[in-house]
Parts: sequence; C-alpha cells; structure tokens
Amino acid sequence: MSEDTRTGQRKADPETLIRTDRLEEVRTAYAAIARQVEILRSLDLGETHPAVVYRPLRRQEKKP
Amino acid sequence: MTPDEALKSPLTDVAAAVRAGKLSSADLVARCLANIEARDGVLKSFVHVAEDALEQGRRADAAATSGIATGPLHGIPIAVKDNYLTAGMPTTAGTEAAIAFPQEDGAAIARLRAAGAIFIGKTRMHEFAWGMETPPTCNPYDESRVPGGSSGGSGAAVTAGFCLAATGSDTGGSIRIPASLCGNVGFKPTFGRIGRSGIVPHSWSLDHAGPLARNVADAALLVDVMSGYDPGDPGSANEPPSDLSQALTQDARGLRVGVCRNHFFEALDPEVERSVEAAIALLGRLGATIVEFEVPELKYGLGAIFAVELSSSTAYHLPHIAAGHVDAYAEDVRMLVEMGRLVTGSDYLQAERYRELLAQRFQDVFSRVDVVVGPTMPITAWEIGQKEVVLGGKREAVLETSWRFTYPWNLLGLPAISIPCGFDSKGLPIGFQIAGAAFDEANVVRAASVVERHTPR
Repeated sequence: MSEDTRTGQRKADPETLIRTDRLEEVRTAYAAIARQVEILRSLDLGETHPAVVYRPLRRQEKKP
Repeated sequence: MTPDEALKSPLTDVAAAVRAGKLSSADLVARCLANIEARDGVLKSFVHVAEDALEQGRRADAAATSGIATGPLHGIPIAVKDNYLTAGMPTTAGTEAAIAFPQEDGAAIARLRAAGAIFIGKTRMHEFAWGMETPPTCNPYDESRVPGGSSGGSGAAVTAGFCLAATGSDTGGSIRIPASLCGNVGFKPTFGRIGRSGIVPHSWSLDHAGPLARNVADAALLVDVMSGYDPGDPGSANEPPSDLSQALTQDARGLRVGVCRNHFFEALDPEVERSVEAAIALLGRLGATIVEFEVPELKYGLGAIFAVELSSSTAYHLPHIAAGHVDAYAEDVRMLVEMGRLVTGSDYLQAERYRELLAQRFQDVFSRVDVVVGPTMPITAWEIGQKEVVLGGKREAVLETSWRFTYPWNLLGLPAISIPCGFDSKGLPIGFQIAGAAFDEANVVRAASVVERHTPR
C-alpha cells in the first residue's frame, strides 16, 4: 500500500487522482466501457456541433 | 371513502374526498404508516419516515373543514426520493459518506407542497443515483428480487401501498426501470419540463425529475403539479406547467405509433417480447397506425451515455474524491465515480456531438409518428445478487441489460413513460415504454392511457 508518510493519506495517481493502489483495478473495470467509447469515436460526425453551447451573460443578468 | 378505497382510487378522487370531508387525510396517512410498519422491515424502501406525517394529515383535515383546501393533491401522502432536498427531513442521496445536504425544498418539492401533498418520508435510492438495484430494497412482487433503480425505494413503496405516489429521478432510466420491475407507472417528462433545483445532481444534462405512480392519470397529474419554469435550474425550460388531463380520455384513432425495430427489440426475453407485441397490436386494433422504422445511429449510444454520465458525475464528485469521501462510497459507485476520470475531454465532446446528430434523427422520426413504443426493459426483475443474464444466446451483465432501452431517451431528453403491460410466467410485471416528441407529453399520456384502459391488471 502506497502512503504519504507525512499526511498518512494514501497516494493518488497525479494524472487521474485515483488512489494508486486502486488504479489498475479501475482501469480493468473501465475496459468494457472504453470499447463502447471507441465505437463512438469511430463515428464521423462531420461538422456537427456539440449539444453543449456557451451563452455569454448580459449585464445585470442573474444566473442561479 | 375509506383509506383502503383511497389506496385504489385515482388521486383526483382521493384529494376531492379529503377536501369535501368524506375522507380523513390523517386516517389515510395512518393506513400508509401501518402498511410501512407491517412490511417495510422486509422491503426496506424507506430511509426516513416523517415524524410529523400524521400531524400533516390532521392539518390537511383542518384546512378542509375550514374550507381553505384547494390543492389538487390536498391530503395525499407522497414519498420523496432521497436525492430531493426537503425542509424538515434529512437528505442523504443514498450515501453513508459524511456529506451534509441542506434541509430546504427545491422547486418540484415546493410545488408539491403548495398543491397540498403530505410528505410521508424519504425513499431509498441507489447511492448518488448510480445504479439499477437499490440495495437492500426488495421487489414487492418477489422479495428475493431487486426493485430496480436508482429510484427503487419509490418503486417498491408505491406498489406496496406505503404512499399514493412518489418522486423519482431518471438519468438513464432510474424512474422507468423501477416502475417496470415493480409494476407501476414511471414518467420522465421532457428535459427541462420539471425544475431540478434542490435535487442532488448526478449528470446535469441527463438528469430528469418525475413521478412514480399507481396509474397513468396520477402520473400525469403529478407532472402537471411538478412542472413549470424553475429559475434555480439552468436546464429548466421557460414553459408553463403542463395540463395533461384532457389526454387521459382520448382514444387511439389516428394516433401514429412508431416502432423502432433496431436497438429497442434486440436481445429480448421472449415473454417480455410477447407482452409488448400484444400491446402494440392492441393499439393497432384500437385505430392507431403502426409505423415501423430503424435508426442505425443508435448503435453508438452506449458509448455516448457512458462518456457523458461518467465524466459529469465525476466532475460533481471531484471535491469528494480529493477529500477522500469516496472511501465511504459503496464499491460499485466508487468504481464508477473513479472511472469517470478516465474519460477524455474529446470523448465527452464526441458524445455531445453525437447527441445533436441523434436529436436530428429523432426529430425526423417524430415528423412521421406521434409516439415511439417498445419494451421498457429486456427482462423482468432479476434475483438479488444475480450478475448476468443470457438473452438471444448471448451472456450479458444484468446491469448493462437493464438500461439498454431507457437511456436513449435521456440522451435525447424526450418524454418517456413506463406502464405495466402484463406479467411473465413467474408473475413478475412487464413494462411498456412510450416516448414522445419534445414537450409533447400529451400524446405520451394519450397512448399510455389507452393501453392502460385495455390491459387487465
């Protein structure tokens, strides 16, 4: 078990923030989902814009 | 009207009886509490029963006596999924992690309260709405089986007569799946129709609020009450509350019923398939036009919903990952929350671009049909602990199976309802799913009501 001796907390992988002692298990579990994402990646979406659209706020406009 | 009669009557009749002094709300609440006392030790559908439930009922009776009761849900005991924040009751979102949620009403709860609803308690959910089983809740039809999830406590509570309706939330099927497995009605209206302020987020662009109810009319009424613009929800549509009451009495003549033969009918339990085909044939006999079609792009959907749901959920939980709170999460949920860190930004945006493409495909579909129908799920309730199922000769993880037919409507944000359409040979309920065009809940309710009226229960 990797542990930060100064804080007593278990170390996290700096790229994924997943605890290093769990990283391999998480990657293995993700493999089935990664295959589905790979299928999605193979789709040529041409010029299709994502469903996410940023809208600038007008002066005084309130956001929740 | 007696409390036992009320448990079988439409909400409009029950509320009218309370308002007219023909039924005591306190007696009705007491009946529900007695049912909870008798059976929830086994079903485990509630995580909190309101200490003041009876007092709420007495206040409803007093208001009726003094003539100030006007709400369409006056005196009706409703259970609340535990990811809806509530004034006067704690919220946990199904987690044992030390996360404090405020005790205040969000928009949908405030609307239900203003309509006269009595909040009898909070129902168990799969932790953070991330799952299809809701442990340790059991299915009321067979206590060795799951109730579905993530709104499994609500599904079980409605069927068991612990309340007259319940709230749920649906990110990939979490209202419709427990409704299908527990034999009641689950309704996810159009994205933005019901405000989500005060609901613990799971995936911002996929989360929908909605009811689980005993029948279509009750579900439609609850959508009417819960809907309307919510300034506290950036996804809220600036639409007035719905009025679905007129759709309940329409017939099927002239209704264009779409049947998408790819994706929604693949790897299906034969008994589920028979019941669903019978419901489709029924609509045809009653005057609907059946229109068969295919949308090949649906084969990319699973990767898309995983990319959006995982990355969104993980973004919400990032502070909890950093603070180590995830150590207290259940292992399955913790794994999903951590896996979201492995989805890349470009994959997420590919998924959001795909949603736009799929929306265009279904906009075209809904220019030719009024509703799209099919099975809610490929299977009926599975045994607690069961991990896999064999369908069409192919072994599949039961959790993957469970949401195959529901998640496309979350990617699309379109309204979808699950209603009972029969039972399998084990006596387990089968769900029939009806989806509609954006903000056309009326045709969904119309078709659902027709099938309900002609299906023995």
